Amino acid sequence: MSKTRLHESELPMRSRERSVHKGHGNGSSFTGRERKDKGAEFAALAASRMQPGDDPVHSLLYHRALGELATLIAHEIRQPLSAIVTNGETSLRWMSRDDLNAEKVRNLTSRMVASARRANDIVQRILDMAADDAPRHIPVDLSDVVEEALLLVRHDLESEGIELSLLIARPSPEVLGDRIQLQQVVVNLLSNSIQAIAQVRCAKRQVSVSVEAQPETSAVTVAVRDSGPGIPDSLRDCVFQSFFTTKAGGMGVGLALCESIVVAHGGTIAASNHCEGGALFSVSLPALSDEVCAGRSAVPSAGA
Amino acid sequence: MPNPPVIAVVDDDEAMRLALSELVEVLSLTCRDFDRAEAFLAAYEPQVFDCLITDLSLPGMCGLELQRKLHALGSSMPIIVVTATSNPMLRTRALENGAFAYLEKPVKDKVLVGHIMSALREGEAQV
Repeated sequence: MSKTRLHESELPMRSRERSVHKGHGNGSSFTGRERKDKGAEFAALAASRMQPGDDPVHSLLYHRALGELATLIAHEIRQPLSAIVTNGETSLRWMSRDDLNAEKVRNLTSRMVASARRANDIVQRILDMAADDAPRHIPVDLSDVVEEALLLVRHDLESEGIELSLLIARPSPEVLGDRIQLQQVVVNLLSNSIQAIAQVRCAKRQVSVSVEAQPETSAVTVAVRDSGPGIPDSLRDCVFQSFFTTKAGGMGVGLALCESIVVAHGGTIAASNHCEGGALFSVSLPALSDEVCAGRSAVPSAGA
Repeated sequence: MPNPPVIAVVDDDEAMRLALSELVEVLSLTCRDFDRAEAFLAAYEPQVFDCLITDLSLPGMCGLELQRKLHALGSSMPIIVVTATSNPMLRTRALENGAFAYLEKPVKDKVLVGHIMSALREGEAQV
Protein backbone atom coordinates (compact mmCIF):
# COMPACT_ATOMS: atom_id res chain seq x y z
CA MET A 1 0.00 0.00 0.00
CA SER A 2 2.66 2.45 1.05
CA LYS A 3 4.71 1.26 -1.90
CA THR A 4 1.93 2.11 -4.34
CA ARG A 5 1.65 5.58 -2.93
CA LEU A 6 5.38 6.03 -3.21
CA HIS A 7 5.23 5.46 -6.96
CA GLU A 8 2.44 7.97 -7.37
CA SER A 9 4.37 10.58 -5.47
CA GLU A 10 7.13 10.17 -8.04
CA LEU A 11 4.79 10.96 -10.91
CA PRO A 12 5.87 14.53 -11.56
CA MET A 13 9.43 13.38 -12.03
CA ARG A 14 8.43 10.97 -14.72
CA SER A 15 6.00 12.69 -16.96
CA ARG A 16 7.34 11.60 -20.30
CA GLU A 17 4.50 9.21 -20.88
CA ARG A 18 2.28 12.26 -21.21
CA SER A 19 3.72 12.81 -24.66
CA VAL A 20 1.95 9.68 -25.80
CA HIS A 21 -1.36 11.18 -24.88
CA LYS A 22 -0.94 14.45 -26.68
CA GLY A 23 -3.32 14.49 -29.56
CA HIS A 24 -3.60 17.16 -32.18
CA GLY A 25 -5.02 20.39 -30.81
CA ASN A 26 -8.18 19.48 -29.04
CA GLY A 27 -8.13 16.20 -30.88
CA SER A 28 -6.62 14.39 -27.95
CA SER A 29 -8.39 11.11 -27.55
CA PHE A 30 -7.86 10.20 -23.92
CA THR A 31 -9.94 12.23 -21.65
CA GLY A 32 -10.33 13.46 -18.15
CA ARG A 33 -10.08 11.02 -15.32
CA GLU A 34 -9.58 7.99 -17.49
CA ARG A 35 -6.51 9.51 -19.09
CA LYS A 36 -4.96 10.45 -15.79
CA ASP A 37 -5.64 7.06 -14.25
CA LYS A 38 -4.09 5.13 -17.09
CA GLY A 39 -1.19 7.53 -17.27
CA ALA A 40 -0.70 7.17 -13.56
CA GLU A 41 -0.49 3.44 -13.71
CA PHE A 42 1.99 3.46 -16.48
CA ALA A 43 3.92 6.20 -14.74
CA ALA A 44 4.05 3.97 -11.70
CA LEU A 45 5.74 1.40 -13.87
CA ALA A 46 8.08 3.90 -15.48
CA ALA A 47 8.85 5.67 -12.21
CA SER A 48 9.82 2.50 -10.47
CA ARG A 49 11.69 1.38 -13.56
CA MET A 50 10.80 -2.06 -12.42
CA GLN A 51 12.97 -2.25 -9.36
CA PRO A 52 11.45 -5.49 -8.24
CA GLY A 53 11.64 -5.66 -4.47
CA ASP A 54 9.63 -8.53 -3.07
CA ASP A 55 6.39 -6.62 -2.84
CA PRO A 56 3.56 -8.62 -4.45
CA VAL A 57 1.51 -5.43 -4.82
CA HIS A 58 4.27 -3.96 -6.92
CA SER A 59 4.49 -7.07 -9.05
CA LEU A 60 0.75 -6.99 -9.61
CA LEU A 61 0.85 -3.30 -10.43
CA TYR A 62 3.58 -3.92 -12.95
CA HIS A 63 1.64 -6.62 -14.77
CA ARG A 64 -1.51 -4.54 -14.68
CA ALA A 65 0.28 -1.45 -15.92
CA LEU A 66 1.49 -3.38 -18.95
CA GLY A 67 -2.08 -4.41 -19.76
CA GLU A 68 -3.33 -0.87 -19.25
CA LEU A 69 -0.60 0.44 -21.49
CA ALA A 70 -1.62 -1.91 -24.29
CA THR A 71 -5.24 -0.76 -23.95
CA LEU A 72 -4.17 2.86 -23.98
CA ILE A 73 -2.05 2.47 -27.10
CA ALA A 74 -4.84 0.57 -28.86
CA HIS A 75 -7.34 3.31 -28.01
CA GLU A 76 -4.96 6.08 -29.04
CA ILE A 77 -4.19 4.54 -32.43
CA ARG A 78 -7.80 3.55 -33.11
CA GLN A 79 -8.82 7.25 -33.20
CA PRO A 80 -6.88 8.25 -36.34
CA LEU A 81 -7.63 4.86 -37.91
CA SER A 82 -11.35 5.44 -37.41
CA ALA A 83 -11.08 8.86 -38.99
CA ILE A 84 -9.28 7.32 -41.98
CA VAL A 85 -12.02 4.70 -42.40
CA THR A 86 -14.82 7.26 -42.23
CA ASN A 87 -13.06 9.73 -44.54
CA GLY A 88 -12.33 6.95 -47.02
CA GLU A 89 -15.90 5.76 -47.05
CA THR A 90 -17.16 9.33 -47.39
CA SER A 91 -14.81 9.82 -50.36
CA LEU A 92 -16.27 6.73 -52.00
CA ARG A 93 -19.75 8.12 -51.47
CA TRP A 94 -18.75 11.40 -53.15
CA MET A 95 -17.21 9.55 -56.05
CA SER A 96 -20.35 7.56 -56.69
CA ARG A 97 -22.49 10.68 -56.72
CA ASP A 98 -23.45 12.34 -59.97
CA ASP A 99 -22.25 15.72 -58.67
CA LEU A 100 -18.76 14.40 -57.88
CA ASN A 101 -17.01 17.07 -55.85
CA ALA A 102 -13.30 16.78 -56.59
CA GLU A 103 -12.42 19.44 -54.03
CA LYS A 104 -14.18 17.45 -51.31
CA VAL A 105 -12.44 14.26 -52.31
CA ARG A 106 -9.10 16.06 -52.30
CA ASN A 107 -9.76 17.40 -48.79
CA LEU A 108 -10.87 14.04 -47.49
CA THR A 109 -7.83 12.40 -49.00
CA SER A 110 -5.42 14.87 -47.41
CA ARG A 111 -7.13 14.33 -44.08
CA MET A 112 -6.66 10.61 -44.46
CA VAL A 113 -2.97 11.22 -45.06
CA ALA A 114 -2.81 13.50 -42.00
CA SER A 115 -4.53 10.90 -39.82
CA ALA A 116 -2.26 8.14 -41.08
CA ARG A 117 0.73 10.32 -40.19
CA ARG A 118 -0.75 10.93 -36.79
CA ALA A 119 -1.12 7.20 -36.19
CA ASN A 120 2.49 6.81 -37.21
CA ASP A 121 3.52 9.67 -34.89
CA ILE A 122 1.87 7.86 -32.01
CA VAL A 123 3.81 4.73 -32.81
CA GLN A 124 6.99 6.79 -33.08
CA ARG A 125 6.38 8.44 -29.70
CA ILE A 126 5.94 5.06 -28.10
CA LEU A 127 9.22 3.95 -29.64
CA ASP A 128 10.89 7.18 -28.46
CA MET A 129 9.52 6.61 -25.01
CA ALA A 130 11.04 3.17 -24.97
CA ALA A 131 14.33 4.62 -26.21
CA ASP A 132 14.23 7.30 -23.49
CA ASP A 133 14.75 4.51 -21.06
CA ALA A 134 18.15 4.17 -22.65
CA PRO A 135 19.87 1.05 -21.45
CA ARG A 136 22.49 1.72 -18.83
CA HIS A 137 25.30 -0.71 -19.30
CA ILE A 138 27.05 -1.44 -16.06
CA PRO A 139 28.74 -4.53 -14.65
CA VAL A 140 25.97 -6.87 -13.59
CA ASP A 141 26.05 -10.18 -11.78
CA LEU A 142 23.60 -12.42 -13.64
CA SER A 143 22.95 -14.38 -10.44
CA ASP A 144 21.50 -11.23 -8.89
CA VAL A 145 19.45 -10.64 -12.02
CA VAL A 146 18.04 -14.16 -11.85
CA GLU A 147 17.20 -13.87 -8.18
CA GLU A 148 15.45 -10.54 -8.70
CA ALA A 149 13.51 -11.96 -11.63
CA LEU A 150 12.44 -14.92 -9.52
CA LEU A 151 10.93 -12.56 -6.98
CA LEU A 152 8.67 -11.19 -9.71
CA VAL A 153 7.34 -14.59 -10.76
CA ARG A 154 7.39 -16.26 -7.35
CA HIS A 155 3.64 -15.95 -6.97
CA ASP A 156 2.98 -17.45 -10.38
CA LEU A 157 5.25 -20.38 -9.56
CA GLU A 158 3.47 -20.95 -6.28
CA SER A 159 -0.03 -20.65 -7.65
CA GLU A 160 0.76 -23.19 -10.39
CA GLY A 161 2.35 -25.53 -7.86
CA ILE A 162 5.66 -25.48 -9.70
CA GLU A 163 8.84 -26.57 -7.98
CA LEU A 164 11.87 -24.39 -8.56
CA SER A 165 15.35 -25.78 -8.90
CA LEU A 166 18.08 -23.18 -8.78
CA LEU A 167 21.74 -23.76 -9.61
CA ILE A 168 23.80 -20.70 -8.88
CA ALA A 169 27.35 -20.37 -7.61
CA ARG A 170 28.33 -17.00 -6.22
CA PRO A 171 29.90 -14.81 -7.14
CA SER A 172 29.32 -15.55 -10.81
CA PRO A 173 31.24 -13.67 -13.51
CA GLU A 174 29.83 -10.27 -14.29
CA VAL A 175 28.54 -9.14 -17.65
CA LEU A 176 28.17 -5.63 -18.98
CA GLY A 177 24.48 -4.88 -19.35
CA ASP A 178 21.31 -3.12 -18.37
CA ARG A 179 20.07 -4.74 -15.20
CA ILE A 180 16.40 -3.98 -15.85
CA GLN A 181 16.46 -5.26 -19.41
CA LEU A 182 18.27 -8.43 -18.42
CA GLN A 183 15.74 -8.94 -15.64
CA GLN A 184 13.03 -8.58 -18.27
CA VAL A 185 14.64 -11.35 -20.31
CA VAL A 186 14.71 -13.73 -17.36
CA VAL A 187 11.17 -12.81 -16.27
CA ASN A 188 9.90 -13.45 -19.81
CA LEU A 189 11.65 -16.82 -20.02
CA LEU A 190 10.31 -17.82 -16.61
CA SER A 191 6.78 -16.68 -17.47
CA ASN A 192 7.00 -18.63 -20.68
CA SER A 193 8.02 -21.78 -18.80
CA ILE A 194 5.30 -21.31 -16.20
CA GLN A 195 2.69 -20.95 -18.93
CA ALA A 196 4.02 -23.99 -20.77
CA ILE A 197 3.57 -26.06 -17.64
CA ALA A 198 0.21 -24.51 -16.83
CA GLN A 199 -1.07 -25.55 -20.28
CA VAL A 200 -0.73 -29.24 -19.57
CA ARG A 201 -1.67 -31.48 -16.67
CA CYS A 202 1.71 -33.02 -16.15
CA ALA A 203 2.68 -34.80 -12.98
CA LYS A 204 6.11 -33.25 -12.88
CA ARG A 205 5.88 -29.48 -12.49
CA GLN A 206 9.34 -28.08 -12.35
CA VAL A 207 11.35 -25.11 -13.59
CA SER A 208 15.13 -25.26 -13.37
CA VAL A 209 17.25 -22.16 -13.61
CA SER A 210 21.02 -22.13 -13.74
CA VAL A 211 23.72 -19.53 -14.08
CA GLU A 212 26.93 -20.96 -15.39
CA ALA A 213 30.29 -19.59 -16.44
CA GLN A 214 31.58 -20.87 -19.77
CA PRO A 215 35.35 -20.37 -19.57
CA GLU A 216 35.96 -21.78 -23.06
CA THR A 217 33.76 -19.15 -24.69
CA SER A 218 34.28 -16.39 -22.09
CA ALA A 219 30.56 -16.25 -21.59
CA VAL A 220 28.02 -16.58 -18.85
CA THR A 221 24.95 -18.66 -19.56
CA VAL A 222 21.55 -18.47 -17.95
CA ALA A 223 19.47 -21.54 -18.71
CA VAL A 224 15.76 -21.91 -18.01
CA ARG A 225 14.31 -25.38 -18.40
CA ASP A 226 10.75 -26.46 -17.79
CA SER A 227 8.88 -29.74 -17.49
CA GLY A 228 6.24 -28.65 -19.98
CA PRO A 229 5.44 -30.24 -23.34
CA GLY A 230 8.53 -28.81 -25.06
CA ILE A 231 8.65 -27.02 -28.39
CA PRO A 232 7.29 -28.92 -31.40
CA ASP A 233 10.06 -29.31 -33.99
CA SER A 234 8.03 -27.48 -36.59
CA LEU A 235 7.89 -24.39 -34.39
CA ARG A 236 11.50 -24.33 -33.24
CA ASP A 237 12.42 -21.64 -35.75
CA CYS A 238 9.44 -19.41 -35.01
CA VAL A 239 9.57 -18.97 -31.26
CA PHE A 240 11.59 -15.77 -31.33
CA GLN A 241 9.52 -14.14 -34.06
CA SER A 242 7.38 -11.19 -33.08
CA PHE A 243 3.69 -11.95 -32.73
CA PHE A 244 4.29 -15.68 -32.78
CA THR A 245 2.30 -17.28 -29.99
CA THR A 246 0.60 -20.54 -29.13
CA LYS A 247 -1.19 -19.01 -26.16
CA ALA A 248 -4.81 -17.93 -26.23
CA GLY A 249 -4.66 -14.22 -25.56
CA GLY A 250 -0.88 -14.17 -25.98
CA MET A 251 0.71 -11.29 -27.84
CA GLY A 252 3.77 -13.13 -29.04
CA VAL A 253 6.16 -10.40 -28.01
CA GLY A 254 7.82 -11.94 -24.94
CA LEU A 255 10.45 -14.11 -26.58
CA ALA A 256 10.98 -11.69 -29.45
CA LEU A 257 11.75 -9.01 -26.87
CA CYS A 258 14.15 -11.39 -25.13
CA GLU A 259 16.00 -11.99 -28.34
CA SER A 260 16.34 -8.32 -29.20
CA ILE A 261 17.60 -7.46 -25.72
CA VAL A 262 20.09 -10.32 -25.73
CA VAL A 263 21.37 -9.46 -29.21
CA ALA A 264 21.75 -5.80 -28.16
CA HIS A 265 23.96 -7.06 -25.36
CA GLY A 266 26.17 -8.95 -27.80
CA GLY A 267 24.81 -12.28 -26.65
CA THR A 268 22.89 -15.21 -28.05
CA ILE A 269 19.65 -16.92 -27.13
CA ALA A 270 18.68 -20.45 -28.10
CA ALA A 271 15.59 -22.60 -27.76
CA SER A 272 15.73 -26.36 -27.71
CA ASN A 273 14.14 -29.37 -26.10
CA HIS A 274 15.90 -31.08 -23.25
CA CYS A 275 16.70 -34.76 -23.81
CA GLU A 276 14.63 -35.61 -20.75
CA GLY A 277 11.68 -33.56 -21.95
CA GLY A 278 10.54 -29.96 -21.65
CA ALA A 279 11.82 -26.82 -23.31
CA LEU A 280 15.24 -25.37 -22.63
CA PHE A 281 16.05 -21.73 -23.25
CA SER A 282 19.60 -20.56 -22.80
CA VAL A 283 20.98 -17.06 -22.90
CA SER A 284 24.73 -16.52 -23.23
CA LEU A 285 26.31 -13.13 -22.64
CA PRO A 286 29.97 -12.17 -22.95
CA ALA A 287 31.68 -12.19 -19.56
CA LEU A 288 33.04 -8.84 -18.55
CA SER A 289 36.52 -10.07 -17.78
CA ASP A 290 38.25 -13.11 -19.25
CA GLU A 291 40.37 -13.63 -16.17
CA VAL A 292 37.36 -13.71 -13.91
CA CYS A 293 35.67 -16.18 -16.14
CA ALA A 294 38.68 -18.37 -16.68
CA GLY A 295 39.36 -18.61 -13.00
CA ARG A 296 36.08 -20.17 -12.13
CA SER A 297 33.56 -22.71 -13.23
CA ALA A 298 30.51 -21.50 -11.43
CA VAL A 299 28.29 -24.52 -11.15
CA PRO A 300 28.25 -28.17 -11.95
CA SER A 301 26.73 -28.68 -15.36
CA ALA A 302 23.03 -27.94 -15.23
CA GLY A 303 22.36 -30.52 -17.88
CA ALA A 304 22.21 -28.30 -20.92
CA MET B 1 -38.10 22.64 -49.81
CA PRO B 2 -37.99 22.18 -46.04
CA ASN B 3 -34.70 22.73 -44.27
CA PRO B 4 -32.54 19.62 -44.22
CA PRO B 5 -32.34 17.86 -40.86
CA VAL B 6 -29.55 19.05 -38.56
CA ILE B 7 -27.20 16.50 -37.07
CA ALA B 8 -24.97 17.39 -34.12
CA VAL B 9 -21.59 15.68 -33.74
CA VAL B 10 -19.78 15.77 -30.38
CA ASP B 11 -16.26 14.33 -30.39
CA ASP B 12 -13.09 15.76 -28.84
CA ASP B 13 -10.96 14.07 -31.49
CA GLU B 14 -10.76 16.66 -34.25
CA ALA B 15 -10.02 14.28 -37.10
CA MET B 16 -12.90 12.01 -36.14
CA ARG B 17 -15.25 14.96 -35.60
CA LEU B 18 -14.52 16.33 -39.07
CA ALA B 19 -14.79 12.88 -40.63
CA LEU B 20 -18.24 12.36 -39.11
CA SER B 21 -19.29 15.85 -40.24
CA GLU B 22 -18.21 15.11 -43.79
CA LEU B 23 -20.12 11.86 -43.78
CA VAL B 24 -23.24 13.69 -42.62
CA GLU B 25 -22.73 16.29 -45.34
CA VAL B 26 -22.37 13.79 -48.15
CA LEU B 27 -25.85 12.60 -47.15
CA SER B 28 -27.07 16.15 -47.91
CA LEU B 29 -27.81 16.74 -44.24
CA THR B 30 -26.62 19.71 -42.20
CA CYS B 31 -24.00 19.09 -39.55
CA ARG B 32 -22.89 21.13 -36.55
CA ASP B 33 -19.92 19.83 -34.63
CA PHE B 34 -18.75 20.37 -31.06
CA ASP B 35 -15.54 19.35 -29.32
CA ARG B 36 -17.14 19.01 -25.89
CA ALA B 37 -20.47 18.09 -24.34
CA GLU B 38 -20.67 21.50 -22.62
CA ALA B 39 -20.33 23.33 -25.95
CA PHE B 40 -23.19 21.31 -27.38
CA LEU B 41 -25.41 21.92 -24.34
CA ALA B 42 -24.78 25.66 -24.65
CA ALA B 43 -26.07 25.51 -28.24
CA TYR B 44 -28.87 23.11 -27.48
CA GLU B 45 -32.46 24.22 -27.88
CA PRO B 46 -35.50 22.02 -28.36
CA GLN B 47 -36.29 21.28 -32.04
CA VAL B 48 -32.95 22.66 -33.30
CA PHE B 49 -31.17 19.32 -33.71
CA ASP B 50 -32.73 16.25 -35.22
CA CYS B 51 -30.12 13.75 -34.10
CA LEU B 52 -26.98 13.69 -31.96
CA ILE B 53 -23.89 11.60 -32.67
CA THR B 54 -21.63 11.63 -29.62
CA ASP B 55 -18.45 10.06 -28.31
CA LEU B 56 -18.52 8.77 -24.73
CA SER B 57 -15.10 9.66 -23.44
CA LEU B 58 -14.95 13.45 -23.57
CA PRO B 59 -13.01 16.02 -21.58
CA GLY B 60 -15.21 17.40 -18.80
CA MET B 61 -18.76 16.10 -19.13
CA CYS B 62 -18.77 12.59 -20.57
CA GLY B 63 -21.21 11.27 -23.16
CA LEU B 64 -23.34 9.39 -20.63
CA GLU B 65 -23.72 12.52 -18.50
CA LEU B 66 -24.68 14.50 -21.60
CA GLN B 67 -27.30 11.88 -22.35
CA ARG B 68 -28.75 12.22 -18.83
CA LYS B 69 -28.71 16.03 -18.99
CA LEU B 70 -30.60 15.99 -22.30
CA HIS B 71 -33.09 13.55 -20.88
CA ALA B 72 -33.60 15.83 -17.86
CA LEU B 73 -34.22 18.72 -20.26
CA GLY B 74 -37.06 16.68 -21.75
CA SER B 75 -35.27 16.05 -25.04
CA SER B 76 -36.43 13.16 -27.20
CA MET B 77 -33.73 13.76 -29.81
CA PRO B 78 -32.26 10.38 -30.84
CA ILE B 79 -28.68 9.87 -29.66
CA ILE B 80 -26.21 7.67 -31.51
CA VAL B 81 -23.11 6.80 -29.49
CA VAL B 82 -19.88 6.30 -31.46
CA THR B 83 -16.98 5.33 -29.24
CA ALA B 84 -13.54 3.75 -29.33
CA THR B 85 -14.17 2.16 -25.96
CA SER B 86 -15.31 -1.43 -26.18
CA ASN B 87 -16.85 -1.79 -22.76
CA PRO B 88 -20.01 -3.90 -22.51
CA MET B 89 -21.05 -2.11 -19.33
CA LEU B 90 -20.95 1.30 -21.01
CA ARG B 91 -22.93 -0.10 -23.91
CA THR B 92 -25.60 -1.44 -21.58
CA ARG B 93 -25.75 1.80 -19.64
CA ALA B 94 -26.02 3.94 -22.77
CA LEU B 95 -28.75 1.76 -24.26
CA GLU B 96 -30.64 1.58 -20.96
CA ASN B 97 -30.52 5.37 -20.81
CA GLY B 98 -32.26 5.40 -24.16
CA ALA B 99 -29.46 5.69 -26.72
CA PHE B 100 -30.76 5.04 -30.23
CA ALA B 101 -27.63 3.06 -31.14
CA TYR B 102 -24.21 2.24 -29.74
CA LEU B 103 -21.45 1.87 -32.31
CA GLU B 104 -17.77 1.12 -31.86
CA LYS B 105 -15.01 2.87 -33.79
CA PRO B 106 -14.05 2.30 -36.50
CA VAL B 107 -17.68 2.47 -37.51
CA LYS B 108 -18.95 1.21 -40.87
CA ASP B 109 -20.50 4.06 -42.81
CA LYS B 110 -23.43 1.91 -43.97
CA VAL B 111 -24.26 1.03 -40.39
CA LEU B 112 -24.00 4.60 -39.13
CA VAL B 113 -25.94 6.01 -42.08
CA GLY B 114 -28.63 3.38 -41.54
CA HIS B 115 -28.99 4.45 -37.92
CA ILE B 116 -29.02 8.15 -38.77
CA MET B 117 -31.75 7.60 -41.35
CA SER B 118 -33.94 5.51 -39.09
CA ALA B 119 -33.40 7.98 -36.22
CA LEU B 120 -34.60 10.78 -38.48
CA ARG B 121 -37.61 8.73 -39.63
CA GLU B 122 -38.50 8.02 -36.03
CA GLY B 123 -38.17 11.70 -35.12
CA GLU B 124 -40.43 12.65 -38.04
CA ALA B 125 -43.04 10.13 -36.99
CA GLN B 126 -43.13 11.66 -33.54
CA VAL B 127 -43.82 15.18 -34.75
